[in-house]
Amino acid sequence: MPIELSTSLKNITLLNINSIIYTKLLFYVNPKNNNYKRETELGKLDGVKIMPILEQLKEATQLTNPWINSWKNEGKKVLGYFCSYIPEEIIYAADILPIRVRARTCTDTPMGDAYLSPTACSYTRCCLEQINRKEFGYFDGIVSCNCCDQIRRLYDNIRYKAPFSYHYIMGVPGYVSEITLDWFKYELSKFKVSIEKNFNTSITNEKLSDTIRLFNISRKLLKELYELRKHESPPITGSDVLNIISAGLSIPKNEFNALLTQQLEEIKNKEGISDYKSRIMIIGSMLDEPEYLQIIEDLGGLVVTDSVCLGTRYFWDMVDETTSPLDALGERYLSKISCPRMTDGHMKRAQFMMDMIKEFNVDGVIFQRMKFCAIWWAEIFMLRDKLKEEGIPFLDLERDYILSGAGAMKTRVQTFIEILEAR
Amino acid sequence: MLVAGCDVGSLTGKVVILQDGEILSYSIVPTTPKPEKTAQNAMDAALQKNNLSLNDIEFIVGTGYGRIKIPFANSQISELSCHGKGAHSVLPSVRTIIDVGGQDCKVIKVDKNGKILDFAMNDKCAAGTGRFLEVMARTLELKLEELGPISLESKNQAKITAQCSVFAETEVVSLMADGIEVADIVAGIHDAVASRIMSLVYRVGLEEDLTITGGVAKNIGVVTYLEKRLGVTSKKLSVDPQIIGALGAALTAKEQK
Amino acid sequence: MDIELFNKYKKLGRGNWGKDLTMWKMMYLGFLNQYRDEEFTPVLDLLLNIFLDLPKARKEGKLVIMHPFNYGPELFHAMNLAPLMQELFSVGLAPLHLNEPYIDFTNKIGYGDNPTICNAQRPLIGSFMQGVSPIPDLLFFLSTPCNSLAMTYQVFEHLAKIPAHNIDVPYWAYEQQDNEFYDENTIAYMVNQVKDLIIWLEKEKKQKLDPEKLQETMKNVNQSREYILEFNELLKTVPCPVPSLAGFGNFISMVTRGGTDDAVKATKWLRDSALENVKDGIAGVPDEKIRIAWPYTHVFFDADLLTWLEETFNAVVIMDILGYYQVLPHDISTTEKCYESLAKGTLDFSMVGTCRGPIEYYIEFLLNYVKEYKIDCVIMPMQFACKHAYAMARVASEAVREQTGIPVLIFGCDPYDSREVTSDAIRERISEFLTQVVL
Repeated sequence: MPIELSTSLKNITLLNINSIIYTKLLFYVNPKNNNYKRETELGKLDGVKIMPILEQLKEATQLTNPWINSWKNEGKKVLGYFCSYIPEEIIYAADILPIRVRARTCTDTPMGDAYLSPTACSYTRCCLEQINRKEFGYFDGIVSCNCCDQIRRLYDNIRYKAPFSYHYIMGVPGYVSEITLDWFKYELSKFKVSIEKNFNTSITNEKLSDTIRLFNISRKLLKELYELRKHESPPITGSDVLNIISAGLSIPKNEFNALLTQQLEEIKNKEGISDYKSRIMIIGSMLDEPEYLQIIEDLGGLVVTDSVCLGTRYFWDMVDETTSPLDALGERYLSKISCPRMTDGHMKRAQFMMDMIKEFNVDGVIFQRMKFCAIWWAEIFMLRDKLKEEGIPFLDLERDYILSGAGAMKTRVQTFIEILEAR
Repeated sequence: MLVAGCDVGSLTGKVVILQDGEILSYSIVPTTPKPEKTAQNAMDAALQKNNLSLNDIEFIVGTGYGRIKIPFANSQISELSCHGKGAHSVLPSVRTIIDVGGQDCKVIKVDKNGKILDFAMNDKCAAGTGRFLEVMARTLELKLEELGPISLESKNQAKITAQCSVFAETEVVSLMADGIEVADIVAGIHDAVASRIMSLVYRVGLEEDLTITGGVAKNIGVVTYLEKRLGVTSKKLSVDPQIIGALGAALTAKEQK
Repeated sequence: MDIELFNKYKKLGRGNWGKDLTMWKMMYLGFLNQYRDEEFTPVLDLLLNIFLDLPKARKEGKLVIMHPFNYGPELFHAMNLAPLMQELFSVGLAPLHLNEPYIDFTNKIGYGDNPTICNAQRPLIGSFMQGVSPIPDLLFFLSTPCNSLAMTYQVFEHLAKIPAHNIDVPYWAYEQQDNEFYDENTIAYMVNQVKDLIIWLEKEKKQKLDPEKLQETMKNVNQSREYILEFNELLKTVPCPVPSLAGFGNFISMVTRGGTDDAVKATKWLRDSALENVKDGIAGVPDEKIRIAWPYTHVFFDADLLTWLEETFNAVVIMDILGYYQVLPHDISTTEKCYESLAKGTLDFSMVGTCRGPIEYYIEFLLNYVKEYKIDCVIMPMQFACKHAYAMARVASEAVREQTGIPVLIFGCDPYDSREVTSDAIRERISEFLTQVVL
């Protein structure tokens, strides 16, 4: 019975969240342990100690989860966003929840193929498909930026074919300099005004500073988590870390910080993983599929660090808390560990990769690039030279947004790990 | 000491039994829909040749596309490592191995100790694999074994331009309708297979000595056209090229025991 | 092959670029193949001058700067550099299918494949790795309109180890900004970047920009722009006074020699020819029946496609997206104003103006094109690798169909590689469309 209740609740939430008002949400989690249940009341999450933290965080990664439900029940807004260059703090300071759009439930993309082209990035095609199928009906709008061709056009197609009530697209400059920084700050101020006007709110400097502090705590905690992975026996796998970071992009930051603090406490005293064959660094673009990393780790390649959108590129750099908040946000978001869409950052990215390899004692690098992604193909083409120079083995994998053809991937990864073992 | 390697591929299953490091017996059986059954059939066939039973084998390593499903395997490794090891044991001077199997083709670069340095695989489409040749043999109403020798009789090779093997089949049918010599069409098909394999070779880089393994290595046409394109002669192996994967697995079994 | 022509530019061999020169000869042949029926018009003279100047530049110690197809080189001419438009390779060599070995080689070395990275830039990498491409001294690129461009230039910089600089064209969501195409802040931003570019060029050249030379160059540019705008107006007459895609000559002039006397001559000649034909009532395509809008690039490898369209269907293709040059002449009375003109020129240039913002830019362009130029049908040959364009095609075609009822054909092809979608396949699609839908 507990299982049925939770499944039917999940179905209801997927169908029509906004129309159901909860005063108390009772559901059974982890059906195997029948004695555990958790009560939530209007956003207050209780019973954290009862359920393993990691399970809660995994639950938070669901595209519709109890935290979002509570948030909406309080009458608050949610905005979907598409890229790590968008300053979440501005959105959050307006008391709006920023959710990174992930289309994990997509099975096929007929509409995406027709409107974006069959040779467009599968992430964008899946997003368009799921948005069209009203999977994100609870969004009050979307925010995007011109990070790459395909995301730009995704924004256009959404506005025409499956619009929301609010759309905004921000221009992020293509390289870092004083001139472009000025422009980026101008873009941020325009964005702030748009949010304020549209949602009838005011984002004061004080609110912004508070939000920046909150997000910096998050970043610090994630960095602590990564520090633990430097050990010879890291206490956590790469796929679990991806779950944690995905959770952080789907629930309110203060809740996430609380959960993550507890998680850190828990694993600091855990016995580390020592039965792995090699230490892997994974580099690439939008990867939000823990199953992908699971395959690598099941074959013995423990993922200890990364440079991916939902990884170090998301949280590694802090926002300066001492200068004016909008300026600080502009500086941090423009000059953070860059994505290859920035045309001048290749040397810095190559250096960051080498630093990570040294600090985390990485044995081999696995590149994962989305099919048809011009940016990452070129970047990997250049990074390979650096790795060849330094004598670090690497594996170049092509993938789709939703995992398919796992057999082929397993053969390549297994061979790569066998190569690393034989060194 | 008796060890064995079992390679469950997409078109055939192979077993090699080693006694003190030398090949005692081997088998090649057609595949069944269940990898477990294929493995069993291959093992039974190999055991029968010397009146052995499964218990006599001390350690078994599985490989190939169905390696996880082999019930009697003690461990499993990737077929690329196996091909590298197997080819090196028979031909220590080998540095580049091209394995053209039923449903994929691979190029493996090894060092002087048979350890893999780099590899490239095509397992996403049938062009350049045994499956392509099977389909073509059917279309031309020829036996698979006949294809190779016929291709060498061609005087004026036809050009097959379609990238995809499904469209290539259509192209072959229209060439037949146009009255083009069968030998010329078959030559075109073999050149197309060689061309697909070439793109993999470029990804890894060619270093001599070169050898070709897998079932398709027995097709003299593919070998000839490949050698023509590469500009080097491949070294022939002293054992059946189709069992190289299983041989490598058996050698791994010897090490891991 | 025309032996006389070949002999004529065999003389181009005077220069110390060795193997590089073959590329130029081949490119010139390629362009000639496209304009085969025409005499040596000023446009072709202009091209000849490019191919003559570049080897000379090396001898004279002029720095050669490579730039993309959507940036006007007036600043480089003003600073006495020798600009080299990179896409001349792909566009010039495509009609002779000579860029295909370089595309294949780029595939072999593992840089991109057909649907991922645009083949307008990839032959550069292939030909460089084979030691056949001319190597510039400096590299310049824009972050617009596409990732392929920015990434391939970076890869080229990485391989050839040349100093590079780039300008960021700001994304401008005009529906969020009261429907203006840019405001003072945008201009200020671009002017700052132009000044930055000038500082970098001065450093590389070890010589300062001469403000008078700049004004002179900008005067030429303004004059060229006037002629082009007049020409574009004349295209609106029915029947069209010039043959298909004659306006491409304007684009080539501005993007390779914009600011020089050659460009003024060429654009004037095109305007004069059109004017004459309008006065005399001559049509570019005799007995014109269909006026086609072609809002993407020409299919470069098929040199006969336009002639075939003209002969089979009496169809004239008015303009392509590159020929849609809508930069206005600007005030250039002071040096600051010159910088502003350079900035505005960058923002409005072909394929930057239509692609630097949301799809509305493109839809406006297309609707304007269709309405003003009295178009009968739209053909969109979208390139697989051009992600941002392909993803606009369907929504734009729906807008056109809704607002004007005109039929639209979208098909995928590769304008630089004849093997992906062959000439025959393209002609079949277009025939089907024109016979069944339009006529």
